[in-house]
Amino acid sequence: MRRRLLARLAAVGTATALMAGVAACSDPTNGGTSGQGGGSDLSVYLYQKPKRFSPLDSFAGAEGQVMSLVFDNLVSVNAAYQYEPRLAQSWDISPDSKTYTFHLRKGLKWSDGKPLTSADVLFSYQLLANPAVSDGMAGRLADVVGVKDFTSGKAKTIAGFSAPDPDTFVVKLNSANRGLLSNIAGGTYAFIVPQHVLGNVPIDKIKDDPFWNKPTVGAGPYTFVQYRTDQYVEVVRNPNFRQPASINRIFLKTVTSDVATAQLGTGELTLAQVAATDAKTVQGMSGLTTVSQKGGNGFVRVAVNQTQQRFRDPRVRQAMLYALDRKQFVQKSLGGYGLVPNTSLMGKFVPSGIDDYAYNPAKAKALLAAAHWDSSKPVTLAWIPGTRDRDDFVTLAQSQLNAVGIKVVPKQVQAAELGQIQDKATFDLTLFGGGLYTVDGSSVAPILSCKAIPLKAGNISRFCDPKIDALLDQAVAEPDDAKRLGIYQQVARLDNQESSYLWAYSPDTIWAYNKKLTGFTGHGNFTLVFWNAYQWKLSG
Amino acid sequence: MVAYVIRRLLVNVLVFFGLSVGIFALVRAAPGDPVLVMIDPTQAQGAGPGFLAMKRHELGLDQPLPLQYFSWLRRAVTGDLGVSYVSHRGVADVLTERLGPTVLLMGTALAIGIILGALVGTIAAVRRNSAVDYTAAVLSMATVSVPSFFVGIAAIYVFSLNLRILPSAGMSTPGGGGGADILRHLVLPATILGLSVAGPMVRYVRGGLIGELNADYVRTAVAKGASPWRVVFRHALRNTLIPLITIVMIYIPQLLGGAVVIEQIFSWPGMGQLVVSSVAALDYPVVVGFALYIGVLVLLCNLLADVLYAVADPRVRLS
Repeated sequence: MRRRLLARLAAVGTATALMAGVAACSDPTNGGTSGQGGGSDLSVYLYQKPKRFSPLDSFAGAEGQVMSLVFDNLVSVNAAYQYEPRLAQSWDISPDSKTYTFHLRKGLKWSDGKPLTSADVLFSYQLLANPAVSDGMAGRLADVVGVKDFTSGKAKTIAGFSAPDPDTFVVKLNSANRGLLSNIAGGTYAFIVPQHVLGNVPIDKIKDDPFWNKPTVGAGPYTFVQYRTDQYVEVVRNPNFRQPASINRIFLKTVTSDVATAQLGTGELTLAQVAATDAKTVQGMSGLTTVSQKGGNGFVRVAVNQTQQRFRDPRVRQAMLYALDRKQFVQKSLGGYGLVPNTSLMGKFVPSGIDDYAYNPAKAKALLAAAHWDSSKPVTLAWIPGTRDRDDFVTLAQSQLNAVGIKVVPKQVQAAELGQIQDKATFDLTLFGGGLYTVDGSSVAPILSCKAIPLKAGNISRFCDPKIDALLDQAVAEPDDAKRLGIYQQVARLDNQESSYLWAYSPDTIWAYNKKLTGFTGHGNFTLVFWNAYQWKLSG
Repeated sequence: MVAYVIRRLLVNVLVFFGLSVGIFALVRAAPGDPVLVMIDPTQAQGAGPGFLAMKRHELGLDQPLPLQYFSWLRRAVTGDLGVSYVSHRGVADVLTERLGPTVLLMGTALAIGIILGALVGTIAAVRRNSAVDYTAAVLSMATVSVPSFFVGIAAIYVFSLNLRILPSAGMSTPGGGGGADILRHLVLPATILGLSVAGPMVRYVRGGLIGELNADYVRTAVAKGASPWRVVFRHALRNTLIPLITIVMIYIPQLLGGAVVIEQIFSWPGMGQLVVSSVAALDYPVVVGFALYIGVLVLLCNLLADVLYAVADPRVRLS
């Protein structure tokens, strides 16, 4: 009896296993059309799940990467951190640095074949500068002539934007600003959107328009096809782009970083950004090339709340920097893939001869003693856990600052809470990162200037030095680039001495890609990875 | 029974109301400010101090909490769960979009779990204290105690990276697709989830069946010459069904809520992934909508369990 029963059970089990086997073996090659890195389809790792694709949003890197493929902007930044003409072939800046005139390329077209003119640019900028609909760009364009009248309802359009002819777009500013380009030129900012698609949408409805979930008309090298939620974004070559791309389709896949590393090995992914901690693993895989770029990801920093009396003395902040062995951290935790910054400015704006705050606990103790530091009072260090290098740095800060008499208590917070405590200045120390400071010196104003404090947003340390502010004002009005550079280097020197932030480290951007991909130039800023995607080719 | 179901449904409406108040209050009690999550402070720079207040007003977050609740409830009863702060899409749409992948993954996992659990549990009970029984005990303990993220990563390593017979992540091949392709993507996550269901199921089935096989009516059936197959499946196994119904009904909301870890590892676009990202972004409308969906599911499954009791065991009378 028992044997017969077991035989039947075994039969059912075998049938189930066979069904699973058939399913598993239906395509033994695995990976499908894009899986082997061949043909004309490319699979790229998308490190976050995108939400939607609106240039009006305050978007994160993943959305920015997709948008840089399907939209285009007037000017972008290349891998050497220099301005790269995009829709605008050239631009003039008036001697008073208040008027920018952009000259568009001839014969520009949208992906649906309709002509792209300065009217589209004007339409886009009217939206981008409107605080009621634009979360991401309105702040960057707040100084354009007429924005205040428009916001208060006195004017129906923003007077500072104009399109005198189909190939020319003009921006007028209230005050001199040589740094405007850096505000609109990041590959992920100020994208131009089609007026012929969105022009009839009422302004109060435009923010929620379904177009932003599926922007199938754009001016980028690729055209949006679909977003399979939480799986992948598919884009296809835009035949109307000024220099049509060679690779036919790009799939941007949202997987975890572990899976991304594995898929680089299997060929399911052709290109991925890898963490410094995974760099060695990837270098051990055959058929892959690894490249790294410095300075494009800003820096991971600790803001020191200078609304608290105990942190106002620069000697306390300098002591903290001397107490931290940042050089060894970069070597050990980042495998050497990083820089140790000593000012908030980066790249060419950093002069030689500034203090490198080399690890010196004795000096740290002396500075703290001179500043009458009260070591009995704990100092909380708030950060969002889950990123290995940042978690490691918090551990290091806790032990090395404790060693010199600063009693650090790590405090884990969620993203939402971090924003709140930074906004309300209810923190002691807080660790965060980001920014692109290599292109233009003016980009540090939101994190350094006294003027950035009232909004309690960008200048999270609440650092204020009127001398730095005066220099920053002088620099944005200075038409001579060499002189501007000199002024920003002065800012860097002052900032270095006063330690506005605890500059922790600046991680390199590391890219790994299949050797079948050619023409790829790794950008230091990962959101600009596709800056020359139209020139990429796939062989084999 | 119809009167019973109607009465229970009415009670559920009250429970649902209480649930909605609780969920709404709890979600709002979470620390943080959704506007500050949505807007990068350095990008808001220059727009003036009124900018963030304006954004709060746009989302209705400057209203008193009770007012926010009633305006939400008024819309919710008509099926309008509001608009996601993040994707700017209707919450009902966002949830519905996730329902398909979740039902597919969880349904398959549940089926694997039940079939495997019942099968192995029955064998273990019939061949009690044999090598098969002991092996089943060890394996079922292992499925419960080894964390699914470990099994998931190990499975990717073996089946995707080394053997290369199954895809490592996603629900379909980009640019490909089709039923067979989805099935291939389903094998690893569904099996791993299914095993986690099967583990405890084996113990329940085995325990229940052993009790039944010792009962007098089984001895009577054997004495009357009923075949072993008939004794186990028609008589004994049927009587172990009632506790199993409870277990399965408890599993359904749990599984349809999404297996967060498995979905993350295998990039499966289900509910679990949605709720994790929505909580991190303080996307209140989606979190509240999701919590309500789970609440309703639990209430319905409880009701269904009661009704199924009566179907499985005619002695149970619902009144």
